[in-house]
Amino acid sequence: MHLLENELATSKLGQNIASLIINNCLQSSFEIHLEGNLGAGKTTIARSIIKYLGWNANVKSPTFSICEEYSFNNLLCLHVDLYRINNQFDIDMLGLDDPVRDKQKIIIIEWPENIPYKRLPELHINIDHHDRKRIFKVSGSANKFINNLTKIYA
Amino acid sequence: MITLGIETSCDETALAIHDSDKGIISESVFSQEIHAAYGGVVPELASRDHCSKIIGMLHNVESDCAIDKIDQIAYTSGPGLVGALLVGENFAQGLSFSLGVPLININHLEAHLHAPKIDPSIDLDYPFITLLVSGGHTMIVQVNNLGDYELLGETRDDASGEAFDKVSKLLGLGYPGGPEIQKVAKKGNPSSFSFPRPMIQDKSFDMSFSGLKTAVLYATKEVDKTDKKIICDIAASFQSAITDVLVHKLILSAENKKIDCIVLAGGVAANDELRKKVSEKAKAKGIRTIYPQLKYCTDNAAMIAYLGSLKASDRSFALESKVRARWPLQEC
Repeated sequence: MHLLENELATSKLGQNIASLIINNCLQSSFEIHLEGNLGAGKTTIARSIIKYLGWNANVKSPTFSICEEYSFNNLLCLHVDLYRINNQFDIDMLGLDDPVRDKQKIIIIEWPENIPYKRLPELHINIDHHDRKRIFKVSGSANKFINNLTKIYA
Repeated sequence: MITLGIETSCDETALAIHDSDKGIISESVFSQEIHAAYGGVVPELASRDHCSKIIGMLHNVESDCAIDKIDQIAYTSGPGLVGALLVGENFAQGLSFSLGVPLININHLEAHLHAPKIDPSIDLDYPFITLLVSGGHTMIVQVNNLGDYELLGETRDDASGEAFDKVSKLLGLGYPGGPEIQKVAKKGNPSSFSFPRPMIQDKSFDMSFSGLKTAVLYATKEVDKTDKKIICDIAASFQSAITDVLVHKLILSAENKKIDCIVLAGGVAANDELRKKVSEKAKAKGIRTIYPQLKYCTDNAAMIAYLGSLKASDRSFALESKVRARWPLQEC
C-alpha cells in the first residue's frame, strides 16, 4: 500500500509509470489496468501517462466513446473505459488485441473488473479513497517493471 | 430537392425528410430505453436496437413522403459509437443502391451547430457562438459560415452530460442524469453545499468537470444519503456549480470574440437552470440567445437531413465506409 497525498501525487504516479515505459525496452504490448471507485483518480493517472508519452492536446474522459486512441511515432496508446460495458461481445469489438505494425502498443483500461473473460495485465493499479487522500496497490505480470515502480514509493 | 436524413450515432434511431421548398416534412425518432438499467448507453444493445427499429422508422416517414421522391440521402458517419454508426451507414448505402440516389455523410457535431436554422421562424445569421453540451461533448464553437468553425473551448476531461450522469448515480438517482437531477434540484437549496467552479478563473474557454464530480462524491460520503432533503440540496448545489461554469465560459467567449448571438445545443441545453442563467447573463450584456426547439437540441435526423440539403455538392455514390468514432469539427 502506498499513499498519494493529493491530485498532483496521483499525476506523478502516472508520470513515473510512463517514464518507466519509455526507459525500459518493453514487449510489443503493455497493458495497464486501473481499478478503483468513481473519483478515485483512474483517469488522472491515465491522462498523465498519455501526456508524459508526448500527447500535447486534451486527454478527455473515454466514458462516452469507450475507447480513445493516441498515436505517436513509435507507439500506439489505447485509453479504454469499461464503466458502461459488461459483456464480452462489446469488449471483443474494441479490437484491443488486433496487431499493430511497427509500433509498441500500450493499453490502459479503466474499470477492468467489468471484463467477463479476465485479462492478465502487465501492470495492475488498485487505487482507492483514503479520506481525501488516495492509497494504491501494485500487482501484475511485469515483475521487473513493478519492482522498479515500487522502489520509487519505498 | 428532397433529402432523407438518418441518425444512429448513439441511442436515438431517427429518420427525417427535408424538402428544400417546405422545410422538414417528416420526422420520426425512437429513443432507446433499454440502457436505463445500465446507467449509460451499452454499445452492443444500441446497435441491435437500431437494426430492429430502423426499417419501421422508414415506414413512419414514408407515410409523409413516398420514398421514390427522395433525391439524396444524408446520414451521420461520426463521431459516435462505431457499431451504431455502421447500422445507419449500411442502411443508407442499401437505400442509395436500390433507389439510385446519392449519399452524403454528415458530421453529427456540425449538424448540431446548424440545427437552429431548421426552424424558419428563427432568424440567425453568421457568425454566432454555440455552446454544445451533451453526454459525449462539451464545447464552445464559433460558427463563421457553413464549413468554417473555430473551436474556442472544450472540456479537458468529462463531458457535462457525463458529469450529470455520474453525479446522478452517486446520488442514487436514475439515468439519464440530466432530467433526474433537474427534477430533485427544484426541491433543494443551491447554496447549501459550496462545490467548486472549476477553471472559472482560467482565461481560456476550456472547462473541466472531473473535480466537481469528486467534490460531490466527498459530500455524499459525509451525509445521510437516505435523507431526501440532503439529496435534493446536493443535486441543486451541483447543478448550480456546473451551470455557473458553462454560462461563464459561454458569455466570456462571446464578449471576447465580440459576437452578439449565442446558441445553446445538445441534450444538456434542455436544462432549465442553464437556460435561465444564460438568458439573464446574455440579456445583461446585450447578447441575443437562441434556443433551438427542444426536439432539435437532442439527437435527431432533421438536422442531418437539413445539413445534407446544404451540402448537396458533397454527394457521391461511393459505397466505402466513412464511419469515424472521432471526427473533430476542424476536419469537416
